[in-house]
Amino acid sequence: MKFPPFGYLRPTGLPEACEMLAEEGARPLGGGQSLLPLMALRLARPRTLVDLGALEELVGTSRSVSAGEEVLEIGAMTTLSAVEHDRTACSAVPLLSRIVRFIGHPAIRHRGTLGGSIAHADPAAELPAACIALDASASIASRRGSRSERVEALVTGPYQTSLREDELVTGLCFPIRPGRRTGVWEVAPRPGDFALAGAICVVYPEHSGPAGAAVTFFGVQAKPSRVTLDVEGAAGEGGGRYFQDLADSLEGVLEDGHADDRFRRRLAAVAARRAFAAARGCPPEVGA
Amino acid sequence: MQVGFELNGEHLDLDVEASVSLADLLHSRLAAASVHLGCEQGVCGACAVLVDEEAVRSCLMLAVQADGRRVTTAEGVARRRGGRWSEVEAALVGKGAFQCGFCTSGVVVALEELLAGDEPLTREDVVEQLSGQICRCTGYVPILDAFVSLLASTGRMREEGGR
Amino acid sequence: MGPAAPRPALRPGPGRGRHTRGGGRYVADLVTSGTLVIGFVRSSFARARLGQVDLSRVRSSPGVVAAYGAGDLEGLLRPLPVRFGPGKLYDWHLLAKGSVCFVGEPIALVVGVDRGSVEEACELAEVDYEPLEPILDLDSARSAGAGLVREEAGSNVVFLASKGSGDVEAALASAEVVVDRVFHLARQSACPLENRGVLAEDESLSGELVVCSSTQIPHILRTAVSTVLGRPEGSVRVVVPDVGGGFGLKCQVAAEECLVAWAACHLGRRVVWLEDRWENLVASNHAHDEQVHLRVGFASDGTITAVDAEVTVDVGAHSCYPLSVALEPSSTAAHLFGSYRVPEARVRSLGVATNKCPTGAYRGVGGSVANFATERSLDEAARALGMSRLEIRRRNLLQLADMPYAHPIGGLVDTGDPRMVLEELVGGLDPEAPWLAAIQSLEPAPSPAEGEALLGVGLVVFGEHSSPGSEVYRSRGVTEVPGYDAASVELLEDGTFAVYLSSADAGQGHGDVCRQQVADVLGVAAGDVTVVEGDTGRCPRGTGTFASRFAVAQLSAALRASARLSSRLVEAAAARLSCEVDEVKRDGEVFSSGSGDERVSLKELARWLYVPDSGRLGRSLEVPFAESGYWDDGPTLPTCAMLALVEVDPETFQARVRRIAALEECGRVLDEAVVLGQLRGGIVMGIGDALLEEHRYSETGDLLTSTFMDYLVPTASDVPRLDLRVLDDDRLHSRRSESGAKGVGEAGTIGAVGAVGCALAEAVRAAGGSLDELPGTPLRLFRSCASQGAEGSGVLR
Repeated sequence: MKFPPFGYLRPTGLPEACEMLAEEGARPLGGGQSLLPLMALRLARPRTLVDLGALEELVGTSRSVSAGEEVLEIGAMTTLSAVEHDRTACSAVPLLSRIVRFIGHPAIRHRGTLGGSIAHADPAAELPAACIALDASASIASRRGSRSERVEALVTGPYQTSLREDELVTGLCFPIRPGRRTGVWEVAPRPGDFALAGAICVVYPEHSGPAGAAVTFFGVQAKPSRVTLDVEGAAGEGGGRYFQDLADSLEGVLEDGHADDRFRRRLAAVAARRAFAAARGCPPEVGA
Repeated sequence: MQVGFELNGEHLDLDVEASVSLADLLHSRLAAASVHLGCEQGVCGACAVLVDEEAVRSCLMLAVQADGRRVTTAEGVARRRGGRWSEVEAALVGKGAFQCGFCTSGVVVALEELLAGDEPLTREDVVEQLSGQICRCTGYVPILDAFVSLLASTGRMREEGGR
Repeated sequence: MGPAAPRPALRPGPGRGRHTRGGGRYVADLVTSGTLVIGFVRSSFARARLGQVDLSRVRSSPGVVAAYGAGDLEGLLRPLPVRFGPGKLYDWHLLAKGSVCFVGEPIALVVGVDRGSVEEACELAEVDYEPLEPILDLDSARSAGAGLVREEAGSNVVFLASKGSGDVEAALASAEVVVDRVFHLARQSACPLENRGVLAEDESLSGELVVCSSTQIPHILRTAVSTVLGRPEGSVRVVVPDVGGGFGLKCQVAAEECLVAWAACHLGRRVVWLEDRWENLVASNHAHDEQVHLRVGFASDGTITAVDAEVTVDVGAHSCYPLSVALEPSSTAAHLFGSYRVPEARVRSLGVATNKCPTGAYRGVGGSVANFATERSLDEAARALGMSRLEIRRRNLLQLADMPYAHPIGGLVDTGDPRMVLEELVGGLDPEAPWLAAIQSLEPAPSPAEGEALLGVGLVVFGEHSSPGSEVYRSRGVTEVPGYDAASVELLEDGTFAVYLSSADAGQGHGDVCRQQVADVLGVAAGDVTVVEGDTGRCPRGTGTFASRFAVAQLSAALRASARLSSRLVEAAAARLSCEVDEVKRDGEVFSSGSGDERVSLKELARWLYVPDSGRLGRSLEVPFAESGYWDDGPTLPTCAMLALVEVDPETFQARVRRIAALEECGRVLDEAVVLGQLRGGIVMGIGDALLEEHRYSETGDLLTSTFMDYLVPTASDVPRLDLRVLDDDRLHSRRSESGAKGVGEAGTIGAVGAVGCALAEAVRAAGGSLDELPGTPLRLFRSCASQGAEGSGVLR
């Protein structure tokens, strides 16, 4: 369980980091809470690690206006603990601090980063799903320039993203939507474990954005998926049946020793229903 | 790789291979015997150390990532509190909260992090923090009881309604 | 180099306070600069013929000092003889030779300057495998044409024993109710927080090979090492440093322990192997993985009339040393209905080999599944007969008046009162508590309202077969376990005492208990007694630390030695005081003659014995002034009653243990804090066995649970409220142990597996399910309901 040998670089600025990542076999190192265990198990053997730990510009939260919409920006190297306790983030997008508490234990959250979690794209991870549920976009940089991509498009499969070899996530941008309500529910073997199935529900206010509600599943399929809800059906008498039908319509449900197809669909249905109830029971976001 | 950091109050400058974990550096090269390797998979918490004020898994951190940081192992917890024994150590010893002892120093570090804050804590908060530390001997109860008593004696304990 | 932190000057309590800041000394802490590090090339196939093992690229890898395959050990290292059943020995080649039979089996040993270099080099080994279809479960192992896991055995059924008496079939045929069910417990492993570790050095000065190992059985390990090396036992010394938990895992000799010892001799260097968690989960002995088929007959009044049992254990790819494949099947069989009157009973127990990790001991051993099977059967019978679960137990539990009781499958029960233990537990419960109603009720719990948690209560009463002696092991055909334990107590020149024990502490706190007990017999302060164990160079030979042996076997030996030494002290005092032995009076640490004029303190007496001022007066005064003690007096049977209350989410099937109450009767209580500590820790471990812990293999025989992210052990969030009490009643003390103690190491685990398992079964029953398999993971609970067609019932949606 020792790390295989690798080259190590520690850039002090983003342009330098991009230069380093342009080299063959280089891989960015965020908090290391996902990558380092894989390396210890020798399931990952990067030739060079580019440690982003000294890039202060990738740490922190701020609010700004982007394309006419108020947004919360979070640097990719902001740790999960920092997100959990950040006042700006808590008030602008309250779901973030709530969902971060499902991830591992405090010691993992002290090191794990937001950008790392998105780039790792574990199908059972909470944050990629949260980004998708919240319509977040990732800012991406490389020597060739910078771009932005919706996280929904960025995550392409299990541990797969559309990121090129030389690219890194520099930050996440979350639209602030006053009136929105969110809920999350997950089933994990023990608190802090990866979810057997989880769901994030977003209920939109009627007067802004896409109407209605949507649920984003994680730990259910090869990547998080967002499904629009029929609020009346979901909230009605047969809500349980509605969510089970919804879960039964999902394709490519994962099977493993913790849950087979049938059980995972059931857990997904329960998680979605409970997340929906939590969202409806939670006060609308004020965005301030 | 050159790395410079503070270990238990003393500054060190060392040459370390990049692939060495902070846990291996501390235990094998710096004689910090409290840093135990229980899993090297980031789960068991036996290798917990404080980096600046935060408890982290030293098996999931490269030694070179400690550059410029302040590292405290269980050996240094009492010293940073200016006593021969830290409150956490005294509480655990008082309740006999260990058997084989392999998890104990990691538990001390994790609880020290919690004690170093100033917000009131519930028993649930303590359980959450401790649930990142695996103990196979004690059943956790004496550890929880020891720390909750310590919190209560310092007025930091908050009752949680409805639980 | 950084400054080492100062060692604590203050050592409150028994000296274990050092653990709070790294004061423990485990194998990993003994590594010095220049110690070479060992790693292993391990099989990637579950079953394959092994062609050439080419280590040339390994040997030329940076940092590698040497590498050896089985061929390189030919003539240098003997195989270890291990056994299937009585008389069936076979050669265990410590590095795979000719074939591999499980993923993780050691194929080559690699020595290097550090673990990183060794792991890197191990990946360069070129191994020719000719893969064969792996045999991975009981059915395929027993199907015709499956081939053999171990050619030497001639069959995949590598262990078979039966026990019992009477006409069971006739009794079953005339029973009012027969419960006929098959119970399962999954493959699990002990996972002490400290993995295995071995450091060895062949000391040129003394000519002694010193093997420092994280083991529970130093003397047995020495025998194994001297056997494979062909060295005299006296030239091998096994030393046990601090051990970071054992729980049965470390009472098997690992191939790696012997190989490391060999490498130290062969290379003339200090070498170390520190097992990592992946190796520990993949290749260190697993446990359990068994099914118990019970047919139990009951009369209309609830009396048990007959028990017919078949225990089948998937023992994996090898036998283990010293306990052998007899361990789990025999132990399970012996624990069935152990606290109950059983007129007719028979049990057949089988061990079946598969291409999975070899199995061995894990706290509770067969007691855990036996308890679950026994008590689940009683619950089923109670329901069928319209009795309460409490009542059916009352009618069948053994009582003091039954003692001694010759149990047809459990052996002789010498003392105890399981019925009293149950009554004490129940009598001490809060009368309002919901679980009291649940066990007194004639009806199963009503189905909860929609969306409400499913609640279940489990009640168990069981004995723990503690501290078996030589007779038990011989009856299983096992000659590698001595069965006895021994101690010697020595008066030292300064007037203090040293006690040398054959056991090895793995964190239980032996030293504190022994020190006090011995000091009481010798009439001195506990501080004047030093306890030494875990060192074959200084301690007498014996069995070691497992099966709750300490308070029974080991302490009895120490107390016998102490009593003998105490008498000899009086003889010495008489010689010193020039009076008759029966004239010597002792007041604390001062001896005086009958007249009281002549006095000698213990310290003066010791000084006089060790620094004589003239020739000796007799042989009894010669030094070393020491006495030995020995114990081989058969097993004891502590009794425990336990109740568990669980809740299950009716939709997600996540289970949580809310409360556990237990009453433990373990003979005389020597140290209540230690007893409660063993119970608590054991219970939480048992909760893990009942809810979480489960090894799973892929269809190709790869372990899917090779990290602590996949093999789930309990954390602080899984701990319920525990109400634990200890019953210490003179009438129930063991007559077989000197102190009256019966041992307490495994009751918590055995009880929690049974009580939580039965509670889960009751909880899912409310949803129309039926649970006979553990652990009760959400998936298993879901299936237990779904397979009964209960999924569409009113409770579930």
